[in-house]
Amino acid sequence: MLDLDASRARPRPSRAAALALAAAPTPARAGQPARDGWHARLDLRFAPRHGRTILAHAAHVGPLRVQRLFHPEGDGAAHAIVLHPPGGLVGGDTLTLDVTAEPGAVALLTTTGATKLYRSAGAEASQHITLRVAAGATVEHVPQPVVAFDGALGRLATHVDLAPGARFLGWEVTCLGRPAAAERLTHGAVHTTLTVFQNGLPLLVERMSFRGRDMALDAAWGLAGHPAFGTLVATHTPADAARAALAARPVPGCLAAATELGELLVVRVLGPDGEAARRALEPVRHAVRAAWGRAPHDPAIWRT
Amino acid sequence: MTPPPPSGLARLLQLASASLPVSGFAYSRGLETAVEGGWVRDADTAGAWVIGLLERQGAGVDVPVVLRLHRAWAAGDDAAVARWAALHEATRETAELRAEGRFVGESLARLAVALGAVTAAEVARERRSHLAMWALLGLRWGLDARLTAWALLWAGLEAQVQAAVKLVPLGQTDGQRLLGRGGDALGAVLARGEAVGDEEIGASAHGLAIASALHETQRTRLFRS
Repeated sequence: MLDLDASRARPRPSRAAALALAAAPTPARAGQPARDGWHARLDLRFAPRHGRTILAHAAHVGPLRVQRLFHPEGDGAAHAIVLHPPGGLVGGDTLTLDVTAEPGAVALLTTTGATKLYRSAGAEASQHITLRVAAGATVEHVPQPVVAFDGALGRLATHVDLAPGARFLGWEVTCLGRPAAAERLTHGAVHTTLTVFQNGLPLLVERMSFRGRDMALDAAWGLAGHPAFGTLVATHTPADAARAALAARPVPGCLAAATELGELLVVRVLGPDGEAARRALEPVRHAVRAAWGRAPHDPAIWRT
Repeated sequence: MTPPPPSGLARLLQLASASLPVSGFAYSRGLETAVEGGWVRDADTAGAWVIGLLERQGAGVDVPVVLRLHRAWAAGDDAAVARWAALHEATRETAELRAEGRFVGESLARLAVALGAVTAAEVARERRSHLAMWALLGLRWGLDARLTAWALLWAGLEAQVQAAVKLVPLGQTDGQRLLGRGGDALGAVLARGEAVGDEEIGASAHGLAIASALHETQRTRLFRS
């Protein structure tokens, strides 16, 4: 997908240097000048209008936006593909996505590709996502995986605020290191947080911190040697439906299990890479949509 | 650590001990599935599981929460008690781990009322929270927040070691060795837990979460789910 505004997102020299550094096989250079990173922000408000969901409000600062809204399901559900033309975060960058779904809105959000967390010489990169879902609204937040390069310093936080009766499905998949290059997290630190609140009360607080060569990377109670981990949360779906979906379509190398925390279905997965972990969660997503009475539909962008 | 009122510590450890049916000994916290799956199969792997989780979740969740609960009870701040109890439950990864917390909380509340340590009215709201009840008992029996947290860690360690002895199984000597290693680690876990800020509380473990979730539907099992 071509982004017409890519020229505005052209890396500044310091950024280009940082990217080159991230891609280089040599160890991180010490003493890279500290710099203020890029701060990108996108605010979206979905609302129903005349039988379909539209963006009642969309505002962005910096290179983070929705290029256009699709309605591919034929029922008015809005699909928003969030574009971040740089494709990754270097130290000091912040990405903020703030989404509100009004009553009656039906929206799906995904991304154009994996979000990369590049190696940092010292500054932390962060991504903060807030999703507010009103009663009677339906939101799927199904981004592609985050890939943290060795040496990345990153903080990834997703906060979901559900009104009673809101329908929500979300997943977060993170891969530590690039398995295709046999790269693991030997230095750096990645912190992830997923919180789901309803009526101001916490339903789920999932927080993980991994440092280079962290014990949790290999421990059986941690990632058990799997580079990728993910969590899916969904409302209005019994855990047995998720268990059946996982059993029917297991993905080689992945380990997954479902539990029901009050009204919230929670599925965890460990996998050999981010794509595999996401594929392991896809049958659960289909089961959730079936429980909601929605036909199967995969965003076309996942196939590109 | 100042010397505790000996009777108070003894009372708390009494509640934590395997000789009474009020603590978490009926639950394996995922260990039964970890053994069934071959992830834990001997003294070394049992030690990595038990000590690793003690260090990660003890310091990241249990210590910071129980310290705050103790302070909240001492200040008579019911809203803070409710908030930290709710946060603690939200950090528990699975239905089974949450059921354990509620079961132990109820058991502690019932016993504490029967023993006259607290009134039924005091425990009416948070009786389903293991940590809230634990902190209240520690406070009532004259233990400071740190010692209350230390005893909580010890109780959790002992329950896990006993589960490992039954399930792996481990011999008594290996069990004692593991308990000793865990006991040696408690001071550092407590110190790390004390340094955790409000917004940093939480230490989820995917392997534990998957093991515990699978245990909820495991066909034959010794431990409760």
